[in-house]
Amino acid sequence: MKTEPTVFVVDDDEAVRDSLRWLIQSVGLDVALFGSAQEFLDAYDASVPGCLVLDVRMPGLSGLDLQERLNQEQINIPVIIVTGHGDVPMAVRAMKAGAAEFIEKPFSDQVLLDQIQAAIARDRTARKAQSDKAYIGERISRLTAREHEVMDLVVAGHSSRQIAARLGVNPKTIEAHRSHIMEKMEADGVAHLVKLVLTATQRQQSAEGNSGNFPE
Amino acid sequence: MAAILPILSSSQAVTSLAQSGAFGESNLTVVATTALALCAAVLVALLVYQRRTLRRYRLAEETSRRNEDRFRALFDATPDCLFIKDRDRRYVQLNPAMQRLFGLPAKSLLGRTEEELFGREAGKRIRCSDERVFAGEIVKDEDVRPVLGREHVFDVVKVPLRDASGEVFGLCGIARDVTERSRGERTLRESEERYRLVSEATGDAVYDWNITADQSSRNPKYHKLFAPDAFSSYGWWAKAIHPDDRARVEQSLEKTFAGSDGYWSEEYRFRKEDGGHAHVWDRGFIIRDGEGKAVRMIGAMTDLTEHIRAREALQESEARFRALVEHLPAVTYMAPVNDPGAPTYLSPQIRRLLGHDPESIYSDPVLWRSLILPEDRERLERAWASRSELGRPCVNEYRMTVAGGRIVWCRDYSVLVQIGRGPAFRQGVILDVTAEKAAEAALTESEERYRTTFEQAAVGIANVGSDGRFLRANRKLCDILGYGREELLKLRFQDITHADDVDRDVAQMNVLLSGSNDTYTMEKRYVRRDGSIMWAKLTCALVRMPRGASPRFVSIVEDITERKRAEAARRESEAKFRTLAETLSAGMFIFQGTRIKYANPAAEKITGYKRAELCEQEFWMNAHPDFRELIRQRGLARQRGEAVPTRYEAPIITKDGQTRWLDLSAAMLVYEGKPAVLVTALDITDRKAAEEKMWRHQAQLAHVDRLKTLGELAAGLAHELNQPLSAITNYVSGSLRRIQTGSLDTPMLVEVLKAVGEQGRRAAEIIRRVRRFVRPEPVKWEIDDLNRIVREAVSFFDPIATRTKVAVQVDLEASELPVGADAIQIEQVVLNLLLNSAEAIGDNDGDRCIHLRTRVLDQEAIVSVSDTGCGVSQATAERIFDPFYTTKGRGMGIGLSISRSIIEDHGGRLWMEAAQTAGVTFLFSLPIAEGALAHEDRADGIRSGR
Repeated sequence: MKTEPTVFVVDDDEAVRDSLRWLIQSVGLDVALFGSAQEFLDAYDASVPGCLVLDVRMPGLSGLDLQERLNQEQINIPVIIVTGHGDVPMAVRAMKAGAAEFIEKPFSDQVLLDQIQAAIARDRTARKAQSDKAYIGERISRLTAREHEVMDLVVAGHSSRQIAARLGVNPKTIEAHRSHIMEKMEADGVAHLVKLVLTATQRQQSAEGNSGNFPE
Repeated sequence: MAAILPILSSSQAVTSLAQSGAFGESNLTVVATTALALCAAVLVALLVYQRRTLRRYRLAEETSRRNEDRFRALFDATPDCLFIKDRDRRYVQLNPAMQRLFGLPAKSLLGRTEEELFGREAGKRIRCSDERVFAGEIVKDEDVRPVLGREHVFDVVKVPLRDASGEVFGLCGIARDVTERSRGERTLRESEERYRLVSEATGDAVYDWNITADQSSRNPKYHKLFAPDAFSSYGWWAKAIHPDDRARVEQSLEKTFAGSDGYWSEEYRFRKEDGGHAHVWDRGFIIRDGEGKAVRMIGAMTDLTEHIRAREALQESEARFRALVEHLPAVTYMAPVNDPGAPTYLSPQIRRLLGHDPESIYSDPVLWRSLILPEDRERLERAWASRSELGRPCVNEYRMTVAGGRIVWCRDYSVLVQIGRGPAFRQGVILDVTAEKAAEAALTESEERYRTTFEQAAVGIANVGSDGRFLRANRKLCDILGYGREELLKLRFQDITHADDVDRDVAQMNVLLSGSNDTYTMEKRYVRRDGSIMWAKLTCALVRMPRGASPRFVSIVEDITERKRAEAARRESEAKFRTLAETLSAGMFIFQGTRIKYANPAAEKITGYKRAELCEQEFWMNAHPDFRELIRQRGLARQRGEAVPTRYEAPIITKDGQTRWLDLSAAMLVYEGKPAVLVTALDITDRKAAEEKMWRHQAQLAHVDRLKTLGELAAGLAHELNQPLSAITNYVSGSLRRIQTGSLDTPMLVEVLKAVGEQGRRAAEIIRRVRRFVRPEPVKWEIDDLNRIVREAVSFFDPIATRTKVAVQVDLEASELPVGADAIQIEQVVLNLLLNSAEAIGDNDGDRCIHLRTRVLDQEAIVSVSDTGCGVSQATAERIFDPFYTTKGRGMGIGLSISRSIIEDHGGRLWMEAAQTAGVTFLFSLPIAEGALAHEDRADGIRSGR
């Protein structure tokens, strides 16, 4: 599994494409070039980390179209949109769709490279979070239904007694559930448990809410 | 004679009689008349005499009767024929012997004439002798007379009977049949005659020598040959022998005499009477006595001189003949009658004729026949088989195959010959007549050709005698003149020549006859049979006839009535043309070759030159310098019959230096018998100026439109320009970073710099295109590829397509589409149509596509631009090409209007077709240009002034 990040460049203009590779490779990054959005989609391997540099104006699938497709297919690769002359509506649309950056041609090489580096870093973080969440989720799935119910109430700040009363069981039973929960969730304490649960749930919210930033 | 004179009353008869006396028997008619007269006279006299006698000698009657009885007994008993004829030469009395001879009773014979009894010939002979008797002669005849179909010889004695006065009144004859005796006598006479003839006819000198007496007798030939006294003795004979032969001959004779042979012969030379010597062959039969001694020799000497000479001559002649035969340029041959196909002799020339040796033909009995061409063989065999009589020459012609396969024609003269009693054979000469045959065939062909030409000719042809009479006339001539051939051949040309032309024609004919010319040609009028006048071209040639025959003419008569009529029409038309041309307001030129031949007053006015000045110029010299070559080439090509535009506009320079535009129309015509070009020229300078002005307005308008279009394109163009600039920036930045990190080697740098240069040029090209598009430069007409122009427009449009997310599908005709055009303007049109389509598509969902197609159809290039937009309403469609009509929120509404003007200026059309469902298609056409005429077409573009 490839861990070195790759910069994917999608531009219908071959000269621009080629010059971008020349530029990006100069800072030691791997570059993969695509003449169209479709080519990129056909070749995309989600396991490869990196970011996407996308020309907004292309025949066929335009940059913005591709961006939407990526969202639909829950491909969370950071996207840098390059435009000849961006107008405001276009920029808004791109940002709303979750573009990392919106760069206008001609651009400073430093700005582009910085954006690329930042995007790669974000991708790295996101990929880490993604793998954490998967781990927590896996631990949550070990819980029984009753334990899951109890955990939700714990995380909501209820005491064992309150939970027992609410569920109409013996508080000692709740205590036992808590103990199992902590064990199964590998949580040090309630605070830790809360964080784990939040991590798992907040991630889902961010995907649904089209929010621009990942919570750190 | 005197006695009968009184009887004849007419003086004419007297004359006749006198003449008859003079001419005697030569005039039979006269003789007959005379005889008749004499008979009559005698009868009268006899009657008178008898009466007197009866009266005077009554007493003597008794005595007379007795005598008469005796005479009658004798008369009746004699075996000879006795008869008495009267003056009419008719039998009046005849005896029984005569009756027996004819086997007829007396009454059948009495009164008959000699002719009736003996036939005409004998009768005439008898009558002749009778005449002598009547003249008083006693005639004795031996005469052969046919009796009952058999010849009898009679000895006849006829005596005249006279009366008392001595006049002959009849004849008495006695005829003895001596046929038998006569036959014996004749045999003897014949025998003697034969002997004489033989002895005289023999060529030999015959002698009979009594040796003992040394005496000899000789036949006349002997004397004739030698001497009258020849061979009187042995001594003479011996002396007459040529001295060189004498001893030999004498010895030979002595030896023979001494021997017992009965025959001796020797050849020797013997002296002739003239002193020369004859070559003789002497043979003698020796008669010996009982003791064997030669006592007599009968012999014959044959003169061999001629024989020897003939033999020598024959030998010489034979040698000559052989030399001749073997050197004749012909083959001589001999062949048996029963097998003429197998020659027994062939002269050596056969080798030259057929390539075969005589020997090979002798040795192969079928070879000769096989060489004769099968087609001719049967005919020849038939000719051979019909055996002609001896000596009658026969000629055969047939073909033979030469050894090499060539065919030769042979003419074979042959004759059946028989020498002595030998078998008849065919002797002949074969001539090679191949060349003659070929010539003959050629002649036949030539004659046939002449005959055919004569008869089939499209012109009238006649043979005319020196008196003008038609001797022969072909069908065409009869047709032309309207006469039947029979009628025409009864006429003279003078009879059917127009009265005004006869003298001229006859004079010409006499010139021919005088020999100073052989032919003449004239145009003349004939009067046709129906009285109409016909113009003809007559060509007449003299034909001299051989052997002083009067010369003839061959006349060729061509009906030129139509031509004459056409000439008249032409003159009339010419006059009309002149009148028209001189009054026409349009300029008119006629040029031929390179020279102007005619210019009308209007042409003078337009050019400012006088007609005479124009006619000194080459036809292209007045043209504007830019157009001279074009006009020169077209004018010359037109005269060569090539297809060049017949109407075009071109400027000229007038005499005072002004430029004037002319609308030229050219047409071919015949001028003074030769092809020429008629050009009419309308002065369109004013129209030209107006057009120019209008065109400038339009160009300005088009420019405005382009500026506007560019405005629409500006955003896209900026993006277009950003692309290469971005690339350049990236290359440069990447390179700088590598330099800083030291990771840039030279080969990489070279590659990058190349790429940077390429992008720089790309940016420059975009700038150039923009500048070109908006520059208000004058229209530039060139032959350009419409496909290229369309591609240029599409690349211009690309940014818009990308921005508006409209796909442009381009489908170009595979081959180049040469059109004469201002590329920018056409590009502008295509761009306008693309922009319109993009507008029409607007924000429509679905198929956002523009189809752009180029095609060739009927020498036109068609460009179509189809959109998938919302289509147009009927109202819009009607006004869509109006200027300042627009359905867009922005724009001036001049795009389509200008586009249409541009296309129409290019000689094309621009139209719209609405699709059934949605969207519209705009199409325009441009004429396909001929690449080779690039220069001229450009000129055409300029002259059209748009």
